[in-house]
This record gives sequence, C-alpha cells and structure tokens, in this order.
Amino acid sequence: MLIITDKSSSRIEINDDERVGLVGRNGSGKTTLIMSALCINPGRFEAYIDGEDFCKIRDYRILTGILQDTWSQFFQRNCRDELILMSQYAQVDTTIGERIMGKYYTEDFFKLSDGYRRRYAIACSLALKPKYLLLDEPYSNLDKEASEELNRLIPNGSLIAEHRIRALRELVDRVYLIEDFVVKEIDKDKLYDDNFLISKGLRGFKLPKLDTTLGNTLLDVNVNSIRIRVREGEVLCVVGRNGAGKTTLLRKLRGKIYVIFQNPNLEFFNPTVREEVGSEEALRLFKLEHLKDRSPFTLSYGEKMRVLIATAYASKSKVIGLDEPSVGLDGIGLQALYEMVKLLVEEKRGLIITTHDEDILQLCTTTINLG
Amino acid sequence: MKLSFVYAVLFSIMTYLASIIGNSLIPLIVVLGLNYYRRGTFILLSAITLTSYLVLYLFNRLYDLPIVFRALIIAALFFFVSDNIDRLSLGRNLGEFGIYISIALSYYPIVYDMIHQIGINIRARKVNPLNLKKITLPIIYQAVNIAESLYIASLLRLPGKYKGKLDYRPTRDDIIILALGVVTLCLSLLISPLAGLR
Repeated sequence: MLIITDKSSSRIEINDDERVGLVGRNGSGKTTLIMSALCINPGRFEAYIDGEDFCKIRDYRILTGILQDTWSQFFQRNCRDELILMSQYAQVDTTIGERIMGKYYTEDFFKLSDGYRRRYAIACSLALKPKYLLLDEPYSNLDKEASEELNRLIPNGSLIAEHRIRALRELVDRVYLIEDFVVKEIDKDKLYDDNFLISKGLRGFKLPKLDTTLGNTLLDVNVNSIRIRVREGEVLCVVGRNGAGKTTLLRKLRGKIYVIFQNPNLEFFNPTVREEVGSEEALRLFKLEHLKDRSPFTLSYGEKMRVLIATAYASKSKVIGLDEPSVGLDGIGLQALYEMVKLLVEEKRGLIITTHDEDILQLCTTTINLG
Repeated sequence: MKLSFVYAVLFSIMTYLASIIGNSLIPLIVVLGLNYYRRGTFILLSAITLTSYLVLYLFNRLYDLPIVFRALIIAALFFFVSDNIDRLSLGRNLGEFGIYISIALSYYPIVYDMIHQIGINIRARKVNPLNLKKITLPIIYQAVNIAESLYIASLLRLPGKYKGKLDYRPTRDDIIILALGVVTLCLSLLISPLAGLR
C-alpha cells in the first residue's frame, strides 16, 4: 500500500488494486502533494510504501509520476527512441510503449496530438512497470474523446490529482479532497453534486446561459473557407476536438483581432501587472488592483488569464480572440471567466472563443464546429 | 538513413577535405544530391551555385568559386547530417555526455517554436523589439520552466545509474556513407580540375 501523509490529519491510502482521485481547486496543494510524495520537493508530505519512507529509497521504478506539462517531458523525438534511451538507465518493457502508442510508436513527438502526447508520457512511465503512479492533472487540454481513451490507460495503484471532475468521476474508486494542503476522504457521490462542486471551487458544473443582444457586425472574413462573422455582443465559439485546427484559425485572424493564446507566459513583456495592463480602469474592472505591483509571471494560471483579458479590454480592440481559455482553470476561475466575458459583451465587444470544453459552451451565442 | 554520430562526422570531414585538396565541384554535387529529398533546400542551394558561377564569371573571378562551393558544402552537410543523424548514437559514441547533447537537439523545435511565438506576440502587442529588457522576460521565464521540467523528468524517467556502453560498430548506413565519403575524396583528387575549380 502507498500512504501519503503530512503526519497530522491528512492521509491518503492507495492500494494496488484501486484508482484514487485527489480533487481540489487551483492552489489547494495537489501539485505540492505529488512533488513532496515523489521526494522532488520534500517537505510538507511524505510517502510510505509498505511502511518504508520513499525518500529513503527514492526508487522511481516503484513510485513515479506524470506531470501536467507533457511538452517538456520527453528526451527523444519518438516513443521508441525514448524507451531505448530509458533502457540505458533501467529495465523497461518496450511492448507497453508499442501497445499504448500503436501506429504512433515511432511518430515524431511534435506531430502528435495532445491526446497522444499524454499517451507518450504514460507509455514511458508505465514501461518502467512502477507499482504506483501519481498523475498531476492528466486531463488538462484533452477533449472528451481523448479523456475517455486516457481512462482506459490509467492502471490500478494510481493517484489522479484533478479539478476536472467530469472526466475523473467515472474512473476512480475513491476520492480525497484537498483544501489548503489539508486532505480528507469524501464520498464519491459528492462529485455529482453541482452545489458541492461550486462550493469547493471544482469543475463539472455548467455555467449559466449568457444573455446578450447582438448589434452591428464587427468582423466578417473568410478563413480557410470558413466564414467568421462577429457582431457586437456576440460570443462566437469555434469548437472541435484536439487537432481540428482551432488555434490555426485564430492565428490567421491575428492583426484583425486581439488574440490571447494558450500559453500566457509567452505574452507578458512587463515586470508588473500594472505596466502590463496599462489601464487603471481595466485593473479595477477585472479586480486586479491587489495584484498590480506583482510580476505577472508569479500569478496563478487563472490570474494570468485575467491579466491578459484586462489587457485585451484596455487595448480597445473591438474583437477579442481567446484560445482555449478554460484550460487550467478550476471552478472559481471558470466563474471568473464567465464574469469577464459578460463584461466584454456588455461593452459591445465581440469574442471568438476556441474550445473543446463542454463546460463553457453556455457562453456561446453562435458555434462553428470544426469536427 | 540513420547515421551514427562518429561516422557522420567522418563523412563530413572527408567531404570538406575533398573540396580543399581536390576538385571542389565533386563533393558539392555529392552533398547536393544527398539533399535531393529536401526539395526547397536542393533548389535553393542549386540556384545559389549557378548564380555564384554566373556572377563570378561576369566579374572574371572564377578562381573564387571553390570558396563559394566550400561554403555551400558546409550548409548542405549541415542539412543532411541534422536530418539523418541517429540521436541515440550520440550516447553510443560519446557516453552519457552524448545523451545530454541528444536531449538538447530534441528540444531545438520547442525552443524555436517558443521564440517564434514570442516574436508573433511582440508584433501583436506592439512591443519595441529593441527593448531587450521587455523581450527577454518571457524567454528567461520559459527557459527556466523548461530546465526545471527537464530536471524533474530526468529524475522520473531515467532512474538509476547510466549503464550504456560505448559502441563504434558501424551500421549498414554508416558503411554506405563512409564509402561515399571515400569515393568523393578519391574522385575529387583524381578528376582533372576545370579552370579555376581546384
């Protein structure tokens, strides 16, 4: 059995024959717990395997982890080469990699979809045949189809830390809730209770429908034979699975609209939030005044998105594009996104949102499906 | 083709040497031919070769042509070798140090993509590209992010001590490319130089 504890009230038990969920809002301590348990940032939590302190043995062939960012967790350009490299350090079972990756076993990592990049990370970790596996937000940026495929791959003896409840609740046998680094076991039925999810800052509930009155046309262009027309107060959603071309479409609209892409860290060029947003009115409207002297790089993902949207508001651009804005947002962040979109719509701006996330479809006035 | 690092370097040295001590046209033709599958590169390098010849001919400086050819040979070798090198051979030929180089080479597209994205955002946000203080902020942050992720991934993905052994046995592709290198060198030495091409 794997036990993760902080030696006081928090204790997680994972048996070899079960999958356990760890849910909590952003900043609640999920990643800290995993990093501590893996002895990468030891301190708050400790892991014990069959009574033995993991930090004393630190054998990642027994207990290993899969981090959130798959794009920076590879060493070679394809799974086969990755496993060959790993075999020079430890024994690996390459048949696991072949089975999980299928026809993409020798495919270039950069040509893989997000779903298959996640598979790549899982294949490489499982090839070591660990007894226990800790996964940090594995559903991040995955569409529904990829999430379901991922569920088939996660083995017993896994702890899955997530705030995307819809994907997780069908998979796990038991669930723990973490709040401010304190863990307690909860009834799995709670994951179907919208009131509980909202109160704990988790995802899995539907946003209310956004009421809007459409005005004049702000944008009317053709992109890749798709007509993109946005009116005042309109939220045009471009939906589709991973790899359908949503981000590509937004890239082609650059110059005509103000676009915010998925990686906010590549979009900050100023040392403070105040300088980044450049407008006191925008800081006030988007509730950023208490953060104005902080570096935008030190903020949480949700706060970074808020800064970028405030910057877009301050730019006076009539049409704003958001690329997968709900990725990385917990329930509270999602509600904040709703409020921000509502504000922009009331200002008679137009929005184009690309997404595969069912939770934010209530924001859409019009939808284009890329398949 | 999958070439081992050591043999790719040997081939490159032989080809470049051929351009210095022999007829530089022969190695140029060979490396251009090796890049034939890269249509854009092949056409560009061929166009530069022809243009250089015409310009130097017009200005009566054909004796400078070998210098141009050598520069093109280096460029063509770089494209060919970077496409066809077996990154894992870096470990086989250079030990654990080679592994780190192969990992760095694998990350080149990520770094390129990051710089490209930042460049797009600089234009979109109308940031002064000469303002180094601003444009380096996201680069530094992301570089630190990548380094940290790599470190953690190396702990988890490469547990235990490095057990790889040095191995210099050539593969079939290595033998082919070595043979091609030797033939290029010999032909280059044997074929009488055309005016100004030595």
